[in-house]
Amino acid sequence: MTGKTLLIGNGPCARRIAEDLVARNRGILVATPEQGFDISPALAAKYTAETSMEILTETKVISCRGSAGNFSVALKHNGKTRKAAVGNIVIAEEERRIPCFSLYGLTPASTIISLSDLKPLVPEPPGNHRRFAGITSMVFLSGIVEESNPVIMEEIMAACLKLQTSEKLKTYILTRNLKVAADGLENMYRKTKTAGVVYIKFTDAQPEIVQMEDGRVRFEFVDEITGDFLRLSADLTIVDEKIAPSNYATELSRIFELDGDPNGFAQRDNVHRLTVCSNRRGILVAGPARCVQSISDQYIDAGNAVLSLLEQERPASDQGVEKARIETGKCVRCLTCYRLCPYRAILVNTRVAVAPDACERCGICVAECPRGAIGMGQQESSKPLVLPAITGAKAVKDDRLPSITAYCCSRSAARAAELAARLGYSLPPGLQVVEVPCGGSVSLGHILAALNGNADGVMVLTCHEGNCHSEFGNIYARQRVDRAKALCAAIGMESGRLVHRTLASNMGIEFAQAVAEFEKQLLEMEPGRLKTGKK
Amino acid sequence: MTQKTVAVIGGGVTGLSAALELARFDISVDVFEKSDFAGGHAIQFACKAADRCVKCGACIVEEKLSQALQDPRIRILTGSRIEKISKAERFSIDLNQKAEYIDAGKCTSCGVCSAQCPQDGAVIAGVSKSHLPFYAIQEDKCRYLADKSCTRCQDACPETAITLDATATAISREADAVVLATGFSLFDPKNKPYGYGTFQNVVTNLELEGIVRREGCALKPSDGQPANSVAFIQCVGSRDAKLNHLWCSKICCGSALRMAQLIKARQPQTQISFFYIDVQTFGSDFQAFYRQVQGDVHMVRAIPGDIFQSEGGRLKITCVDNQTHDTVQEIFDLVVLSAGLQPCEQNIEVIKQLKLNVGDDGFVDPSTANGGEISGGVFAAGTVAGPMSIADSIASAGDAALQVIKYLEMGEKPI
Amino acid sequence: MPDSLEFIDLNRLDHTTFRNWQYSQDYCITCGLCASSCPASGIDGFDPRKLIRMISLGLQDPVVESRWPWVCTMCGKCENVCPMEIDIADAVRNVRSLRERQKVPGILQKGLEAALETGNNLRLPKDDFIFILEDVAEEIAAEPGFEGFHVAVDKKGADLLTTIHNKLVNTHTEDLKHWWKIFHAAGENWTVPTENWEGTSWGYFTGDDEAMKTMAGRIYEQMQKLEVKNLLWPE
Repeated sequence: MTGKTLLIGNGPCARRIAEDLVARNRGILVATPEQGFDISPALAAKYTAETSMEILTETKVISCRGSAGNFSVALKHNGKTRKAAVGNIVIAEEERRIPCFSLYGLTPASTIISLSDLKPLVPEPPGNHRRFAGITSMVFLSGIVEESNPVIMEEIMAACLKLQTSEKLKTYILTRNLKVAADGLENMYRKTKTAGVVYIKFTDAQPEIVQMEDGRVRFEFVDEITGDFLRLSADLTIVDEKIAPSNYATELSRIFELDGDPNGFAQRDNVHRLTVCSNRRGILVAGPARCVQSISDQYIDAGNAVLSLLEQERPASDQGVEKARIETGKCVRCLTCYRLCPYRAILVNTRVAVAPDACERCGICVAECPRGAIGMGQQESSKPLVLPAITGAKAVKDDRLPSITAYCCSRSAARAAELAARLGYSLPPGLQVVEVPCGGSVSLGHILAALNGNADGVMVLTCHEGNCHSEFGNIYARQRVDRAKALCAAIGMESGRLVHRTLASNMGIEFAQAVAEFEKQLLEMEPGRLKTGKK
Repeated sequence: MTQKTVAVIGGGVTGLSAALELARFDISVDVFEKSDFAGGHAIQFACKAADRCVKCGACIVEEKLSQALQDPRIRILTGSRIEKISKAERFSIDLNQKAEYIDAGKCTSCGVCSAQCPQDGAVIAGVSKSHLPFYAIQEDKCRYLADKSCTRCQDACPETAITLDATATAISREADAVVLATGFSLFDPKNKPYGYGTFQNVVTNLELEGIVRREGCALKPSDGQPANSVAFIQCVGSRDAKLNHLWCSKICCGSALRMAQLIKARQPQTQISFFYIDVQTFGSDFQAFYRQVQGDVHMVRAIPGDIFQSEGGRLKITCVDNQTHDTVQEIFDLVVLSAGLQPCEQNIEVIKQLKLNVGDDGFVDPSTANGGEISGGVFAAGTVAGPMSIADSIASAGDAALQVIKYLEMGEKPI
Repeated sequence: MPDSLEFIDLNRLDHTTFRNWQYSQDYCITCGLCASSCPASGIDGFDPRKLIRMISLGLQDPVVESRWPWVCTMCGKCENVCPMEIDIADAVRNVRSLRERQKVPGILQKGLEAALETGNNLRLPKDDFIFILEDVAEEIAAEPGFEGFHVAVDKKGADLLTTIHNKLVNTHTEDLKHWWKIFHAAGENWTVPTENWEGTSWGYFTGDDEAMKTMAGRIYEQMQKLEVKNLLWPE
């Protein structure tokens, strides 16, 4: 899978990725809506000398087709569209700062500015007083209404340190929870205090903030430590900023059909995506496009992105493993699989087919296809993938005890079952653990087949919400259990025979407790009347 | 590139992540873990999801260990301590490999040895299903190793997997590059005025993780009953100039508050108080989380001064009341000290031999981590360079892996 | 915010007021450990954290005028727990030193002035002092086993010079006997100066370093004058 890389972005993270890739002579196409791409002169020279890198400025991505290793991206520049064939894509957009004026009830003015407005004014090296002529007091507002973060606090502290030591200004920082969770920040906090910066911390109360006519801002509050009523007047007020993804990053998330997060970042904070992965193979999200980051975080992300790109050139770890496969003869092009695939691995052309390099074998499509037209190795829509059952140690088969079929997600519940056994919990003798690749691969058919076969009760045990590798497999699983429960109710069967629970791989005792509790519930019922004894 | 070998020192989440990344490039990786169980501190954490994942990353550590164990290009050696590292053209590593008291090939992790052992703490259990054997003999507590006075585990083992006379071995390995991922040490709060080590029901955050992982809820060590009231005391051993720990450990606020929510979900009647200085941000929607948790937890913005024992193993905490300025006393069943992350003293020797710079705070200087030329084939990643979350440790490992590859490629065909 | 309440103008406060106090008060992260440990927290609505913050902010007048720095016993529990190594007790003492001497509470300043003028807090004349000592010595000598006991005053070349707490020649003369008997039994070669014998140095409590220097200097002079090398100063 050695194709060109499409790098969409600007700023330190994108720059480092570009530099690394060019140094390795890999084909790279940079596309940014901005007027320039911020690269070093050395790199620019390389760019002109060799053709391993192409930079497109004032260019936006319009659409994308294809899958990992084989993307066709439409790019628009000056009204003209062009198509590019790339092997993989990296979104490395810069952050967007949203000043918090309105949070504090302030209107921007020459005396009321944002942190980004201030930064270029703070002289480097210190000593230039002219900019702050007539200003004695500077008040920084950070995280008073909405919590802040260490990236912002570090910038504020750095600015205050320069201003306080060099400019003979009095600086005040008003905040709620002081953010120090970054390298060196506690030390910097100390330095700012010895330099004379005054910190006012609020817990539940807020200061009264009044923007005066002369542009100064007056603050009135009770100091939480001394109990005194204090009044502070600011000649210059600096408000903090919310660090958000760029609008374009959010747009890209939609264009590339990524699982974005509710705040607009192009990567959802699913732990399976660490560090720079998205829900689609071949598409990476690095830097501020995926979460709030410091500059050093961005460099680390860049390294991870390059590493991932190099890895994608290697034979995939699941190469040779059979992926989902659509039987053309049965497919009616309803596009259910296309709409549901969490990894966007279904390609719709003259035929609807699974892109094997993008398929993660979750089995959701297999479970949902109304025609049963999709197979995956041994997994077919009504025949689950059965692995050796995990029962407790020293289990004795007793026909009076309920039979339980537990469909267990391989990433969570099945591993928790192993842990439970390892910890020595004796599991119900009638328990049969059926390991499935994802909770989403458990179809209604599987559940009914179990009830119709050997099970008095069926458990569907999946990852916690927000923890599913397929993002939604566990949600579908729960919905199917709900549907099955409704069906049971319709035929007068106890819906308590079906349960959906969430677990993680390290929840051994909870697994044991869940199955024990379920067995107890089933003991209070008659044997399931749909059972035929078939496994 | 010709076949290369990399030594990863430390089998925690960072070391395992680095090993997996390197193995993807068909690099042969030796992971040396000094303790009996791989996974480091992170694998000991409990899942703190009530119904939704809280994104701590603890389950990912399980996955990484499982994958690393299955990868033929990675060899994990537990119980292995570095004696000496030197570099000529390649790195030479001399290790002391702990005696194989329990034969991994025969052991079924049945637990009979642990049940039979009369000495507290002489046979300890792992936490993960990937920990095989699941039990390990502790040399400093074992009676046989002290004075040959007890052979109960050896006698009782149904698989005859135990050999108490086994001896340590010296082994040598070579590597083309080294990744230092030795992690951190948890601050020991015994000198703080909280009775840690004296009062049974005063525990550290890590110990509570262990309790919840094993028992499924917050039980009191004194009697194994659920705690009806829990106090979390933050910043114990962090933000402390007196200890020379002038840093924030970054993860404890998130860890404690998520744990508090879990306890509340499992045991809704529990009263929980959270004593803090400044709550640090974590997660992608901290604002919403913070708002919600304040409904479940009594937040007190002051750190308690003294803890005295009360009846029934309960604990009396003295803390200033921010309104009246007077001290008030409150009784809790369980006190959890959020102990900070500090540099691991046992690893100083290794760090010295690897010629890595150490900052004033004792952590490896990040500028020599992921260093390339500067460090001559030695790379540092994870909490050995400073406190960080599981997610950040994984990212750190990934960046280090890239730097390792760049280093290995020098003078060779690129990968 | 009610209009009637008085505001302190933060702009006007000079937080460099106490800058040359080398007590690290600027390092305070308001953790509250000191306040939580302090036995005097809550009195007058004060605690050590509040005090340190007032100092840090430059609230000089309220802090000097308040009673709390004098209620504090300087036990040091706060310093013991402070993670930023702030010398809180020392800061309390320094606050005390800022008060006008006439406003120093209780009898501390009066006693100190008396000691600076007369050599002892009670303005006890020399003859009276000697009389009281000898009176007590006689009582001891009358007890079995202590025959021959005498108190050596101004003894040149003795091994040990001891100061006297003023209450021991006022209301608690009996308490002289305990340690005098120990000296006797040990065969100690000891002496008491008849001038500048005062052991309590109230400059320590009132934050008056100059007074402390004076008092200590006088005792030192006595040691030199009487050529005694060892000093017992139980204060």
